[in-house]
Amino acid sequence: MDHTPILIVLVPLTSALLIPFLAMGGGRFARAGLLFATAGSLLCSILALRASLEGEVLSYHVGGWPPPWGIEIVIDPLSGVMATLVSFLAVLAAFYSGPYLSGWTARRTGTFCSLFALLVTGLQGIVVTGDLFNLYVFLEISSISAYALLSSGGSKAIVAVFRYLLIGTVAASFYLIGVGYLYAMTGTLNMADMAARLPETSDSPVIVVAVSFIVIGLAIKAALFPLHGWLPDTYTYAPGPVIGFVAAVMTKVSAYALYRILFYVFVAGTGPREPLLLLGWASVIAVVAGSLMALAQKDVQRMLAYSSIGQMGYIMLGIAIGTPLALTGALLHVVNHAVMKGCLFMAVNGVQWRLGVFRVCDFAGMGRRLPLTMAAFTVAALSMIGLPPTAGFFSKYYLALAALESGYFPFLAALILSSLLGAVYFFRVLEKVYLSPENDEETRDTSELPFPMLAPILTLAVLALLLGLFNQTVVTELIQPGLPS
Amino acid sequence: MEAETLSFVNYCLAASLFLIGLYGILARPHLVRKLMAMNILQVAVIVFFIILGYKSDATPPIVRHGDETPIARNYINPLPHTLMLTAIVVSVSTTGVALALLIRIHRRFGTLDESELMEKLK
Amino acid sequence: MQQIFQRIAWLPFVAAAAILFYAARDLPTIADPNAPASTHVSPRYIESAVAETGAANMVTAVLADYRAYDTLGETVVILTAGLACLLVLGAFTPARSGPTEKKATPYEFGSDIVDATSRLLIPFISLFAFYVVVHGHTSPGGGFQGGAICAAAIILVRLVRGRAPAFRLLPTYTVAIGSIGVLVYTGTGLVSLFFEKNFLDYSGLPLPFHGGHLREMGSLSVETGVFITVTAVMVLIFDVLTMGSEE
Repeated sequence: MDHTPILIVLVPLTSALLIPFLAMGGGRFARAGLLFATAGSLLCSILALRASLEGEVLSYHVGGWPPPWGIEIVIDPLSGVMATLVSFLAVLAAFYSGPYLSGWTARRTGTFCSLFALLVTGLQGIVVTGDLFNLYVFLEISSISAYALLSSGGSKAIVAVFRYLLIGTVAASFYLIGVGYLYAMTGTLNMADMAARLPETSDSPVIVVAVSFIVIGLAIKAALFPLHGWLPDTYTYAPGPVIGFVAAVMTKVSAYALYRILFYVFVAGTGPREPLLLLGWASVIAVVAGSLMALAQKDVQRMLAYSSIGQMGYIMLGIAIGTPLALTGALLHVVNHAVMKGCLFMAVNGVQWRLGVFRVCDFAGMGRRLPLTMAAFTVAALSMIGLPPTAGFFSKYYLALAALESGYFPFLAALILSSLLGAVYFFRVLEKVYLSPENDEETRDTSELPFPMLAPILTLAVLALLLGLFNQTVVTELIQPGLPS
Repeated sequence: MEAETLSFVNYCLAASLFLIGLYGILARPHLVRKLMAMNILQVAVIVFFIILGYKSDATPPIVRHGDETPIARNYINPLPHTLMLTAIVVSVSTTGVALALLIRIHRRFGTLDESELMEKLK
Repeated sequence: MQQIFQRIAWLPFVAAAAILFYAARDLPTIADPNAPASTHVSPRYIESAVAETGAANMVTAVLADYRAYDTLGETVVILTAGLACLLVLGAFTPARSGPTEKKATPYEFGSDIVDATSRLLIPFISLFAFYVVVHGHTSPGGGFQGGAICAAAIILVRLVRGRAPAFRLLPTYTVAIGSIGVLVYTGTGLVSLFFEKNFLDYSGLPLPFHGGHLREMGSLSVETGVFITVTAVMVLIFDVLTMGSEE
């Protein structure tokens, strides 16, 4: 009996429960517990992914009850890839957090690590579930732990996180009421069962309203323009290991949930058209506006936050267009962006942690002070702009092809424009890093970042290159099996 | 009132409550009022689910003493109630965390009004 | 500009209300026993609850048995909220131990009547809490409800007597108790994994019962876990939120 589907969620959960006890023995046991949690989840995700790639979709009935009476966990290639992505980034973030947490009391470390493990639990729970209400529950688990973790960055973070809390709860309530409408019309909460029963309800305005609510709710969580207001402040003031993980993963998981609902619950193409149209136009604006606003920032982390808004626009664009080519681009970009943004945020936060600087002008001469970190930053930045052979080029290529194929020329123009803008604001930073002389400050610490922080950054940069070089394999082996047939 | 109109009025009330909560979050500058509006929003969703489960001439979902074979027609649908237990718990938890954040904000800045906060954050 | 915005702020809401009211006409009539929600999944819950799960209270049957995974998530949400409050507000000094003199705490009402009444009430409240948990199967109740009542009893002690009573625990330990509750829940589910059944499938528990009775024991174990966690976290949140007012 294969229990890996449920273990993907249970390993981080049980670890999170044990970490407060481990912390009583000292902070390093708590950190070890966190590493175990994330590594365990990664292992189970990889096993489940391999099993699902060999042919059958894994379906796990929790409690022994068959769906739709019980809750079902579904591992198909797509959820397997997402689960592996989330846990892989979690392992790296757990590693990265070591130096950051070293000054904290054992009790605070324990609480932090426990909440981090619960965040991973929540995200994995969203990724593997096959039940709409179960998704809401795990969405809330990940949200509440994220609120707490993101607020540990100081007083500005607290205000930003309070706003995020309000908006996030509104988003979850929108999602829930959308599910309620769907439940009223079909009588079930299981995704596969609902997919079977929806065609009978035909064109009811209730379904359109329900899908609109769900799209709005998940779009808020995914920071799609114009619902992105919570993101810049929250990302700018958040502490290092948290933001490296959250920025890379949380919005993507919401985008994945949206994709699941639009293409699996509504068997591809039968859903209402209007929300998708709205989504498409919002994403186009997001792509351009995100890049424009990133250009105007002086704070590097804020610049990356606005860049994330633009990138989420790409993913949503792919989902909105809906053709297999577009979906391939969107899903590939989910993986690529998680890797690239994770690397960027971790690098920038490392600089901030080591040297206390966060503005572009203060990055002058970093190329000599922190050569490895900045090399990784450069690779990730080139990938974000979209230069071959890095990963970013290929996902944009697929999206551009899809836009061309479907005749949506404004989308294509937006893609090209935002890539050019991206080149401008990233090269601005790179120019300061490599070509400017250092500021005449007392050199506080000229050495490179400590190994636990450096290793994840370098790993992600290398991965960005590898995903680009081997993108054919990635697309055919991992992404395309996950598309709706 | 016939059942259709009554049903329509009920759904409209739930929707109105939802929109009132949403308006409160967006339009009120004081953070505690925003929190209260958030609670109203969540209650609206809870109310909506619960009214879905009702059946005419049915009793609450506990098997009556001596009823050997319960028939679905005679009992209210238990599923929305279960789901809303979860939603209420989530609502309470979120309110708890929000209050903790508010206490931190108040200690640090001395005010809970959004416009004043924006001034102090500059 | 701000003025104009304030004036028209209610317009989109009116538009949204119009859309929602329009859609509401198509929703199934309330109280209609033939609505999809009442005819598809729930009849099995209603008709087989006693036979399959041993619970006459169908809501508990669904909560603790059919959809136990959701309830696990819900309990984890509570625990997460407790941990979150601890992380956000937890920078207090435990050295500030309870004063042994009469006043100085802001909660003490200093009234003998309140004190005496609460002494009478609290045992009954706690007993009622346990009753609600155990009887969740046959009457309205369950782990969450019982936990909230028990937490109310403990918080009543704090409100009336301040921080002095011996029942006061450091938040670290309260969180540990909350974790124990969820561990009981998860543990019950994990035991089944060792007996070749799925997670949270109570028929895999190694107890000398069968069928509905076995599942009833599983549900009871799970509800106990929920009770422990809810009590601990409610008290934790109260403690953490009121900790700083001693300044």
